This record gives sequence, C-alpha cells and structure tokens, in this order.
Amino acid sequence: MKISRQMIVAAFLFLLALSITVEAGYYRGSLRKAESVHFGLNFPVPEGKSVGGKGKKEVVLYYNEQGLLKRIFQPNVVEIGSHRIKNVGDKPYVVRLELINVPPGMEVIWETNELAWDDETKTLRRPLKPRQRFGMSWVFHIPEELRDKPVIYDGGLRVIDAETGEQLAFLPIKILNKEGGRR
Amino acid sequence: MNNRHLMYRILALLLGIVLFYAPFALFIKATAHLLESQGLIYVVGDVHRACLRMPINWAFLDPAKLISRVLINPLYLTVFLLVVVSFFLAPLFCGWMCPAGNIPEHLNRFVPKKLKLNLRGKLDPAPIRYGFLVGFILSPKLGGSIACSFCNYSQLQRVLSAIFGDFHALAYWSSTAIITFALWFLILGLFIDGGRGWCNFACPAGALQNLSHWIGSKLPFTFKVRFFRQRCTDCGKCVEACPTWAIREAPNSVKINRLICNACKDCVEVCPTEALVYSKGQEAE
Repeated sequence: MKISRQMIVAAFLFLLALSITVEAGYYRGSLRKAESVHFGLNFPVPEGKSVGGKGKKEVVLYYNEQGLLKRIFQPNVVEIGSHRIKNVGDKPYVVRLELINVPPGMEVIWETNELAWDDETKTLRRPLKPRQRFGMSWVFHIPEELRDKPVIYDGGLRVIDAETGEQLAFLPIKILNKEGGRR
Repeated sequence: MNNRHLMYRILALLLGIVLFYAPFALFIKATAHLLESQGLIYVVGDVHRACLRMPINWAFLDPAKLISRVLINPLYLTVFLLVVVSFFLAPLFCGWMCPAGNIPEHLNRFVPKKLKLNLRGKLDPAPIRYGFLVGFILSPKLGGSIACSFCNYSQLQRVLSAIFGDFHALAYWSSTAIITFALWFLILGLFIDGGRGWCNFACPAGALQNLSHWIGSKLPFTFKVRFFRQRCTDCGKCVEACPTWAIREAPNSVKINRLICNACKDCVEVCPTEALVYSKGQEAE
C-alpha cells in the first residue's frame, strides 16, 4: 500500500489529538486536590474511623496549588463536595448536616440536586433508607485576609440524625496553603 | 439558506433544550417518574442524568460498571440509543437537537466573517476527532478521566440554569471549566467558521455517532445525505454551507465525509439542482 502525504498528516493529527487529550487528563489530575475536592462519606460510622472507604479520614484542599486560569479569574472560590453521602446502616435516617468552625466572613454556598433538601435547617427531609445516598457540594468564598494564612479553614462535616440529634459521622475538612506551594 | 429550514432547525434546538436541560428537562423528568423505584424522582432532573460522556468510558473500560449504573439510571443508555439511531438515520441528534452543538453554530452566524478562523478545506477534522475519542476512552486509565472536568454539556447547563434564575449555578469555576467554556463556546464556537469546532474535534458522543453513521451509510436501506453526480453543477454552495466542513470539492463532484457529517441538511437546502438529497439508498449515484 502506498503511503500518501495525506495519510501521514492524518496519522500525525490523530496522535497529536490523542496525546493532548491524555495530557488534559493529567492536567485535571494535577488540580484534584487544589480546586475541587470530592469525597465519599458513609454513615453511621464512629468518630475517628474511616468514613469514606480506602482509609479516608480527612479531606484536604491545597488552596495555593490552583491552576493558572483559576488564579487569574476566580482565585477566591473553591469547592468541596460529595456525590456519595451514603447510609451504610440498617435503618432509615433523616439526616442533618453541619459544617463546623466556618470563620466569620467566609461565605459557604450549599449546593445539592436533592428536591427534599431544606436549606434553612440543612436537613434532607426524605428518610434515607439503607444503601441510599445523596450528594452535596460546598462552595467556599475565601475572604482576602485568610488567603495567605497557612490554615484557611480547619473544620469538618458532621452528619447528624435529625430526629435524635445523635452524630452519625464526622469528616474533618481542611483548606490549607501548602508549604512551598505556588504562592 | 431557506428561512423555513433554519426555523425548523431552531425549533429542534429548542426541543432539545426542553427535553434535556433544566429547568425543563422533560425527557429526564418523565423517565424519573416512570422509574420511581430507582430514586431518580428525588433529585433535580438536568442534563447530567442522561450523561453522554461517562457511559462511553464505562462501556470500553468497565462494562460491569456500565451495567450496574444503568440498572440504577437507564438514562445512561441514551448515548448508545443515539449511536443506533445514527446507524439508520445519520446523526440527526447532533445536527438538529443537541443544544451544546447547535447554540454556538446558530450564534456563530452573527459573528463577522473576518473574526472567524477559517480552516475549511485546509484541515480534515476526522483524524483529530478520532484521536480525541481514543484519548477520551483511554484517559481514565492514564492521566485521569476528562468526562466531567471538560464537559461542554455541563457548562451549557450551568449557563441555562443561571439564565432561568439559578445564579448559584455559575458560582464556582474550575480551571478546566474555564478552558472548556472558552474552547467550546468561544474559540471553537463563535470564532471558528461554521461554529462546530468543538463537535468536530472534541465531542466523544458525536464521534461515536458518526462512526456508526459511517458504517450504516454503506448500506442501501439506511438514510443519509446522498449525492447525485449527474445533477451537480459544481457551484460549491454546499461546501460553503456545511457547518462541520464535511463536504469537500472533488473533480466534477463533491465528497461527503461520513465521519463528520451530522445530517443538518444545510447542504441539501442550498443545492439549486437537488444534487444532494437526504433519503434512503446508495451514498452516491
């Protein structure tokens, strides 16, 4: 088979597109702990035990490791979220969530696609049956005075049984400036 | 172009928005009601429920995961349904209904020609498109999945949600979201000839549908844009009209690239001699 110039150009473009796409995956991976951190959380789980599987005991976001575009256009907003806050117990729960130790001046927007979410009381009004899950994201607006601190946020997420007030799980969450990071 | 044809295309685009995108998402919500036991009824229906990207990764890399996800949410089969439709009828969804492809294309008509990058006839999009598709499929096993982080459907959903009053949808922008929006809507949308640059280069769902159409088009019982050589006057209007650069001139003829054509039928509309027709039969006569 004769190899034409057109075929060589096509092969080059194919490989170029393939490598750029794979590189995009690496780029995304490099920002995984810097702009938007996602986790899984099981409840009920006693405090101190892993709540997210794979030994996860806390969530850390490194604020100063953001990508260049993020730093230029929207450096003050980061996101932490979960697609899987899951009832691993053997009975249904009506759960309330609480984000603790949020510093004054730090606005946090709660986002979910749950129709039964009551944003006033931070409660999922529908009982979550065993093995059911729901998702939630927190968009943190970091005030200017905190942006250069080594520790921007050191708190966590409490999952509470809304009917009894009992804590069902606790996941520490931190937003830090990494030592030797980008700024 | 024929105004009636353009009006039908815009109506189809609006139908695409109403069926798939929140706050309407009628197709998504109707399915959630039909499958109440799956729990989909408890969540807001938007375009993510019928994701056209992640199921492609699962199908090629982890079919067991695809099956388990489909059992919870059958809407993950949508992309494969579109692939089957494309085999028999050409990628009509891309050309007519897909809001993420059609909105940049229609808005592109208002951008002055001198501001648009014109690569028509100079660059064949197909090798780039399928290089991207292979990279997209392999990426979870290599650097990391780009299904969600570089999703243009998601960006459009955020914009539409904000337009319809949910301003929180635009509260957070990641670096990859900024890149995706800039490429999909601006650089490869408004400011490229035809407005279909993202579809041509970086849409895995479109690439799969066209692969299916390419195979289907060889068979006489499938629908496709067909070319009648005897009627062609070499006016070149179809080449200029094609938003995806799928038609190129050849001596006393034109060639339709089935790996790119999305059956929008703009070429059929501008052809003064009916040398291009969308119907069943051989590709060319």
